[in-house]
Amino acid sequence: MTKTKILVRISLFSMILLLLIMILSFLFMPKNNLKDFGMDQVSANGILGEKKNTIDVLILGDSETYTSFSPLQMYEAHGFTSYICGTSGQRLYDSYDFLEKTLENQKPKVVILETNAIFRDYDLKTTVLAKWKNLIPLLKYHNRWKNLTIHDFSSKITYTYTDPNKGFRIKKGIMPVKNHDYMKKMDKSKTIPKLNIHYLDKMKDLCDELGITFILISSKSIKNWNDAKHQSVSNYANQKEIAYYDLNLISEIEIDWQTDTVDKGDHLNLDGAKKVSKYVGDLLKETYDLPDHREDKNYSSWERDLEKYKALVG
Amino acid sequence: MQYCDMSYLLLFLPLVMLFYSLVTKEKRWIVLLVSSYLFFYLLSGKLLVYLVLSTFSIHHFGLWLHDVEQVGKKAMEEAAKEEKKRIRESMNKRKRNVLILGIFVQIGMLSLVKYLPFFCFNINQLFEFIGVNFRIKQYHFLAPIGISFYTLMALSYLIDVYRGKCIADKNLGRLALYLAFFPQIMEGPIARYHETALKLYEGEKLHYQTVCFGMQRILFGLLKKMVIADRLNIIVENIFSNYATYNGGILFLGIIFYTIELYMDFSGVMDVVIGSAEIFNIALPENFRQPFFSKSISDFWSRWHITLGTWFKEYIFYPISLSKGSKKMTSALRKKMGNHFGPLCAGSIALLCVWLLNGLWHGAGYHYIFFGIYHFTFILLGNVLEPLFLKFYQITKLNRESKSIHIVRILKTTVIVFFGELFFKAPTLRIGFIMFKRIFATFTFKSFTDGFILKLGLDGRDFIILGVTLFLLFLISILHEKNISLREEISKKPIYIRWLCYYVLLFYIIIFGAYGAGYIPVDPMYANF
Repeated sequence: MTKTKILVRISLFSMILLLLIMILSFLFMPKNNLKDFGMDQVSANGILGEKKNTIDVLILGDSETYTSFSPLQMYEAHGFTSYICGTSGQRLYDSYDFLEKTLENQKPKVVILETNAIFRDYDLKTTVLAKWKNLIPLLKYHNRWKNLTIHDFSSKITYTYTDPNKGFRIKKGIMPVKNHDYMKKMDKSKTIPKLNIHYLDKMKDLCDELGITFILISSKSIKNWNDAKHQSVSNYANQKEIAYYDLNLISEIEIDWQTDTVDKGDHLNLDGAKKVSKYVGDLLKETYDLPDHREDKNYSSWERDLEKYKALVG
Repeated sequence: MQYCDMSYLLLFLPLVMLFYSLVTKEKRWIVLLVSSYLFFYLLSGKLLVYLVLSTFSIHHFGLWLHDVEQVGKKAMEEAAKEEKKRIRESMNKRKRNVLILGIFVQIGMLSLVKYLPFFCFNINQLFEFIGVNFRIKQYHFLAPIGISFYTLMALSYLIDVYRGKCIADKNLGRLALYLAFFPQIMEGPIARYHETALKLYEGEKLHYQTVCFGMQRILFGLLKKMVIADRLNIIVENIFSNYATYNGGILFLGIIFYTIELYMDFSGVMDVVIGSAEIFNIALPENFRQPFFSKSISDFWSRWHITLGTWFKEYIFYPISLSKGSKKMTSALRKKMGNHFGPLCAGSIALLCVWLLNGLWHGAGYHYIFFGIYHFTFILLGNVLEPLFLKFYQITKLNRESKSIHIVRILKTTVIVFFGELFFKAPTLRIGFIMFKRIFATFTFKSFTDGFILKLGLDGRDFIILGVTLFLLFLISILHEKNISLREEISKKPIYIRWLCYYVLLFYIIIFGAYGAGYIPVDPMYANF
């Protein structure tokens, strides 16, 4: 067989393969952001179902986000809307994807990255694989063969689900840990992995491009946070002129690790989250001139969600 | 990076192919060697030093053996007739000593990383038993991936040089590539020097046909590994981790599924390995030949992990059974016990050594040793009872070669294999026996009829995919058993049918593969041995 013939064959085979991948990717894409439609991380992906341009603050990060910040508590106090796209063990490439995905439908004024994920290391391979899966939805949603319906063959993708707690997870349990000075000064800072610097820069650049304020917040965690991490995030933030708030150094937020943690200082429980949300809500309102939607009829669903939330948290 | 990872299949392998095609014929082996060392480094990091040491060691000892022989031969040429015998004996003795030293270095490295903790543990247990207060400190060294496989290849090279079956290789690069060739470094197959070394060094260009065949073989392997083995892993891990909570029926299902998983995993990875080598026009030896069509346990071991069995036969069984002591014993026992049982008794000693070592090779644990002894027992029983079986068939006038008898024998062998794998998989020998006892003491079909089976981690649709895929593989195995190569049959079809087959296979794996959310990535199972 001649070289030309081989090249033609390979090209034709690849083109058909690409076409089939595209067709099947479309078929396997969840046509809604509900769990029943095969969507993963439904709580974080609930932002896709929020009305266009209704979210003022977007919160990204790992489990520290959805156990620390209560969007509805902040809404009740100040009237601005926020949503947590936080997922367990989130890596910064996930955070960046959530940011990109959200910006297709929302124009937040502030984007917050909770800093715990900044020190979560991973290799290039993991990043590339995740990118591949985002690029080829068939790889990500292949297991939906079990739930394919006639609806999947239609061309309409409609996201209808939104999390009534706006990504926040209510955790009422208590598993105490001894209070101690976990933020005592350290000689050295902890190195931020290079890939995470890359994604931090990308998030900052994207926000700058769209006129969004990108800020960093370290939530209270006796287990996960320390001065070495604080120093490196602080250095990075100074260098990039990003506002950085380390709540672990704010004595005004009186977290009692005997009562305010759900798992020995790893995450806050509802009582801890209330204290943090009070402080962060005040801070955001005062610093970033966020709008008050409490009298706006377009935000009536937030009022309904708030009522349900209040009933839940008591 | 594993053989079934996207990083290997879509990045590493294509890049090696690209560089291999770009360089001249003389430099192709360098591309293969560098990529093999890179592959090993990505898997084991600095432990690459063990592989390099092994390579230098066999290179040195091979040449040493060669030198001793050359010096001896030269001396014999110049010596008087009566002197020749003495020189030959002296030369053979020196060669033997060099070989023993070479083997000691290889086994030493393997023992250091794999068997030292087990050895220390047993010595300490012994001290405790006899009331000695002294304890040996237990050191744990990290083992490089594939050490059990490449050590056997290194040993086969040394022994083959000693026996004069291959010439000691002066080319360190060629020898290094033979030992480190990236497709086989993790799980074999255990190739002999003469099977691959020269071909690897030759650097033949990539051919369209072999590249296509290689890729087809890789796809076939991925089907076994990703659709079946990785899916079954969920249920197998559940059953073996919670064995105390399940009844005998579920436990028996667990050992059936584990056996299928192990076969699909190992043979699937072997397909990827052999396919990868085929792309570079390298024919690696086959490791499987429809093992579940075996009519006896010895037949099973001639079809399962063939290269390991061949290695043990060649380098353990024959040297022991053909040794002077064994021959003496055979002739003595032949007189006392007759032509069947006499040689059988002597041969069984060699067989016992093989199976003890086979068990130990799989891992330092009593359950592995038991696994070896278990199979030895059934092979021995088969040999001992053979005259009785022959008599039975004579009396009953049943045709041993009839299909129905074949099926009965295949089923019997398969059940024996299932229980063997129970001890192989069990974390300890004690747990293996507990599970074995539970299977019989609490056996019931209830869990199969009340829907409990669907609560073990796989739903009904998963079972349908398993059933359909296993059935297809069963049909393909029947064709292979009849020496019909499906691949070659497909290659004779028009291009649109061939492409349709490839697309269907590819998308079958992508869609029904057990990967991503809800599944745990499973490392190749034999890579740990």
